[in-house]
Amino acid sequence: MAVRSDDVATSIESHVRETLEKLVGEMRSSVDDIREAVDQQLKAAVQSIQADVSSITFLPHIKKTIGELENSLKSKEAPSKADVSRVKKAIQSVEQGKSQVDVLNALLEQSVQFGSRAALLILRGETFSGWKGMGFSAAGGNDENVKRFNAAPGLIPELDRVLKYEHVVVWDGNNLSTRLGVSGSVRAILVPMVIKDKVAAAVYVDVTQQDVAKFDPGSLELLVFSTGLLIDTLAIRKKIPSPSLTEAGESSGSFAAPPQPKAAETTVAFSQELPPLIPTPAPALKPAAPPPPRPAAAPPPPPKPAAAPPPSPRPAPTPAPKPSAYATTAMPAFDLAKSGPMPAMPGEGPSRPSTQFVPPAGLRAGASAGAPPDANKKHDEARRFARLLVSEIKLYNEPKVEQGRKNKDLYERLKEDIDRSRQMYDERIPEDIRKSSNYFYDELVRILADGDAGALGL
Amino acid sequence: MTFINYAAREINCKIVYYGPGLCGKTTNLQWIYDKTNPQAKGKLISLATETDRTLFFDFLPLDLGQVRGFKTRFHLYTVPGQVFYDASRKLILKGVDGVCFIADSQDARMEANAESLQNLEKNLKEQGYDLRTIPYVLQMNKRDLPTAVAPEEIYRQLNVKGEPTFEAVAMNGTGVFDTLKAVAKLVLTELKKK
Repeated sequence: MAVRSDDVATSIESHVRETLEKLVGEMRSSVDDIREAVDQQLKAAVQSIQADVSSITFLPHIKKTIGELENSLKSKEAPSKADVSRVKKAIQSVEQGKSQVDVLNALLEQSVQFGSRAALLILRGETFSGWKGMGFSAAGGNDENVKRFNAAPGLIPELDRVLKYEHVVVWDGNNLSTRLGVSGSVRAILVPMVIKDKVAAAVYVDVTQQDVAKFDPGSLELLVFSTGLLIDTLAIRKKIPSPSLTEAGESSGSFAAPPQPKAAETTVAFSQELPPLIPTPAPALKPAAPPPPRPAAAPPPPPKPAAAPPPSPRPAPTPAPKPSAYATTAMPAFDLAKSGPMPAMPGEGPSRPSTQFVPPAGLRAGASAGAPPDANKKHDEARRFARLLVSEIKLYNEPKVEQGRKNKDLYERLKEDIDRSRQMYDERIPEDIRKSSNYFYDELVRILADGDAGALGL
Repeated sequence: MTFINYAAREINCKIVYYGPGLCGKTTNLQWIYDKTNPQAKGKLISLATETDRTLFFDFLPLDLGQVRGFKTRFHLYTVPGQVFYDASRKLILKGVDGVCFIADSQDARMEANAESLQNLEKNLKEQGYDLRTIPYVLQMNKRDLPTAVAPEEIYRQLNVKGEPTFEAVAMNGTGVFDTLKAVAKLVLTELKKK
């Protein structure tokens, strides 16, 4: 049987079509699988990238940068503020000294804050002599050696310049530090200290390499300048510590009063136990009437300028050191029959120069002890004696005087001293002078009450 | 007056440290006491208040060795410096053999120095002594203070008869033993004359 060619062709065509459709279907399926796989991988990648992106933040970097900027700004501002604060604290410390010795010790203590070592050199004539040193022992020297230092003119050119030109000198300090028993100075300053309008001393401060950042000539000059003024006004200053140097308070309306110093009650206690050698106190002092006009025949001398106020008491003598602290030797025997100087006594070094004062040729002793006062000078003498008596009351009773002025009860606090002094005054000063004046009362008002008669509490 | 105990072969002399209030009399004695061998000194008796006021006197016995076989013992006294303790000062001056006048070098205390010196001369006279003949030395104390008056000026104002004069800083011992040695020598020289 014959096969028709059309049928064959149709059959082949159908078979090819089926095969092609099958292949296309398989290819479509594969493409879909691939697309799905790619999609999944892309999604995962996107998620990963998003996670990374969200984990990245600039805040810490920004904070760090701001912090660095702030620090650099602070470091630029800090020195000036710190310096002022240090100078203020130094002056605060110095001004609280109640005696010259306190003030000068505090000056040296504070000076070493601006250097490595400090020494006070007192000017006597044209020679600078060491008064005290600080920081020398710590630097391999000895603070005590400073006290043995003496520089006559020509020895240290920088000291000569201080003396001659009266100005501050800054140099490397090696020549002077060596004389003071230390080395290693890289910078040093000599600041003249003016007391009573005269250069009375020079403050030496030097600095070693390791402390070079501490060296501050400007602060030292301010400190020495202030100290000179403080010594000048030591006896007349009453507001210690100075209100100018107190810490600033908020204006809240309530201000706590500073603590008051304790009154020295021991004086009264001791005085009450005095042996009966002391004269009986005079009757209570009464305020005196204003002095009547003085007779024209014997007018009193014009009042003297304000008397030099009494100096502040020095600090109490140091208590007896332990015996082991000193190498004592037996008291030497000496024979009068032998001529020559007395043998050395314990406590004095063999090489210690004599402290005997040799008066210059032509200088005569002129003490007029016991000379009776000229009749015309009776008023002067009465005023002088009153001033002396009242000055001593103040000298021995500074805390009580301070409190008595505040509470306006000076007489009550100082009754015993005032009455005894009044008795001395009455015994010494002739009646005619006492009747025509009351210098004792005047000095009580001027010296004790600082011009405020009401503060006496009479 | 010097007391000589022949039986005990002992000479006792009295030295008085005189001067204005707070000039450093007690500080002188304190330094001598601190620096002296315990065997050579007695107990320091000091009646001082917290404000450094000596109420009656300080007393320090001190052995200064042998003089011609006699043991010499110096009794050091201070007086209260304040003007109104005059009765105490008079009492302490009784029997004095030598005087150290301690002057305060500070300018503000020159009046007090002069007053104290006048008081010394007057009180000595009352006891039958003469400042111009008694063993006497002058000490210019507190030389370390910037306000110290020039030594020439103090000498001019306070030196009575050309007596030995010493510059001192009693707080650190400067001049303390020089002053004591000088007055001891004068006292012993006077004793030798007698």
